[in-house]
Amino acid sequence: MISQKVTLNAPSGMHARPAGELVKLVKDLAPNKITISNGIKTVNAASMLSVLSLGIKCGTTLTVSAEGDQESEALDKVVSFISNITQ
Amino acid sequence: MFTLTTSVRCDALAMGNAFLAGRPENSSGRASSLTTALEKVGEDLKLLAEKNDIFAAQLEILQDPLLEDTIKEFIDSGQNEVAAVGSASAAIVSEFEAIDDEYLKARGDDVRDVCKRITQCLTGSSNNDFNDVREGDIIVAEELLPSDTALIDLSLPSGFITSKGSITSHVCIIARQHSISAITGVKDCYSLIHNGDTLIIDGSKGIVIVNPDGQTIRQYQDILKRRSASPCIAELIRSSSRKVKLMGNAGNLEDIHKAISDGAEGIGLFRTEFIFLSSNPLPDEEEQYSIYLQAAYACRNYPLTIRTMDIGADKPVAGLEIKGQENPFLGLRGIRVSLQYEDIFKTQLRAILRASVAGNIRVMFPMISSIEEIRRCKVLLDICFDELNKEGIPCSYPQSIGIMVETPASVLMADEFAEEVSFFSIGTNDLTQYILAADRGNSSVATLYNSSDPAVLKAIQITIDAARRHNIEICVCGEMASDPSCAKLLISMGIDSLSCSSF
Repeated sequence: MISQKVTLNAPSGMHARPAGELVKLVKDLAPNKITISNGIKTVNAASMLSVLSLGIKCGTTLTVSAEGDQESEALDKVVSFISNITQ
Repeated sequence: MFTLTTSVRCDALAMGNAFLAGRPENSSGRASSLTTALEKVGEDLKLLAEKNDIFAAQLEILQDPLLEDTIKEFIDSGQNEVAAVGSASAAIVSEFEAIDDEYLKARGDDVRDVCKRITQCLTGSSNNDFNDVREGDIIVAEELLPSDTALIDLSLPSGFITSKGSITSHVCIIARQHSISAITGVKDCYSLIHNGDTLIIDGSKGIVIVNPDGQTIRQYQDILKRRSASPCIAELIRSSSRKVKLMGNAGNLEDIHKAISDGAEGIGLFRTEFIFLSSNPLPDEEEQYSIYLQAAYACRNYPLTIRTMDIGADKPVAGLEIKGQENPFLGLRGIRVSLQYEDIFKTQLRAILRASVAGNIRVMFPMISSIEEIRRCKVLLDICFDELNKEGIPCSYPQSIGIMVETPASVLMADEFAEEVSFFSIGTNDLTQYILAADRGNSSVATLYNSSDPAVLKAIQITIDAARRHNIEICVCGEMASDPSCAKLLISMGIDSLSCSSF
């Protein structure tokens, strides 16, 4: 398993729309398993409700972890997606 | 006769016989594995989702790994399947309620509803007991979830009373769509009201009267008769053959929440004066940015029309020196103040541009009487936009720019103004006083001040026609829009949206 930190810079935080897109991406990366942690709680990134329940605000640093055969590629994709959320 | 109360205030008004919804049945544990139950509920929801988006959202919840994982955790901890579904529902909902996310909060009802379906599937119970509802009945329940209201013939009941829930609950939204009077938060209604009791709902007072006496019944019969004689704005719009948008006027964040939950498709007039009138020294950019952003989110995906500060005349501000003027309504007010004190104006524009990252903000300038004024406003907006970009502060251009049409000059020059902006909003209060030269605050000319005067209507028609010619949006946001008889006229004259203080 590998991990990387990323900061969310979207002013409105992780709300329904980006979370939905993120979950879609994560599902496409299966069977690689992706988790996201806000330092307090770690959740399955394929669950939109779990991702939203982290209540991620703008400026929060997250730890994304990936496990699987293409874990490095999957991790890159998720981290780059999160860092590119702008609204 | 006795009265139950709630802290919720709304315009619900109804009289009818009580119909008590069945209590949820206890689980009898009819065997069928959790996996089969989940599959079965999924199939049901797929069918329902074709007809109603609420069920599409519930299907997503069912398919979200969180639900099954949480149920399994409770099973692993030793609970049986039925109990585990109940525990998972409670755990997820309480977690959602703790998060500051509107979407997640609104999903609470859906999670509980999905879990109730799973439980029913596991136990073989059903609570379809709304078949006996008669026309005019008032349904009383602890709470009404989407799966409950889906079972009710919504053309029948005149009211809903629930002990749980708020004005934003699913039940209130459904009720509004079907012109049913709903009142929530009525404690103990379910235990104190019996089937067949005569009930009166009066949302304006936040009360439910149980078994009223003859005098009270007659009093409310009169009120109901008067209410039904004048259709409300929302009904007018629903019955209109042309698509007209209903928007709300707001003077603060609470107004926005109320308007949106009452069914407004956005805010057509967000007065920003409250920020300036209640604050000394003048509010800085950060403070305004935070208010505008909150306002934009409160509108959800609907547009928020921010009117820049409209001060002077009847609305003096402590931080701004506007010296005594002989004719304040013809003096320094509205956009004239903003352009005189450009630094203060730019602070507001910067805050608006920053909040516009929310994506649904429109900006509107008040009291425009010359083309130069609107051009200057646009230049200032561009300057602020460039400055923010140079400073590396996230910002976005507003969705659209418009003006209030409230001076005779803007009416006469409507074609030229339409080239400059993408919407007009007619402020009928000021337009009336300026067209008729009658001070709206002066009681000795009160008889002259009449928004339905032919001269005012002609001015409105000129503005609408110009907007049509240039294919820009035309809205009315003055008090006239909130008066049902005037609103009907405005719709027939061709406006695109009405922005009202109440509907």
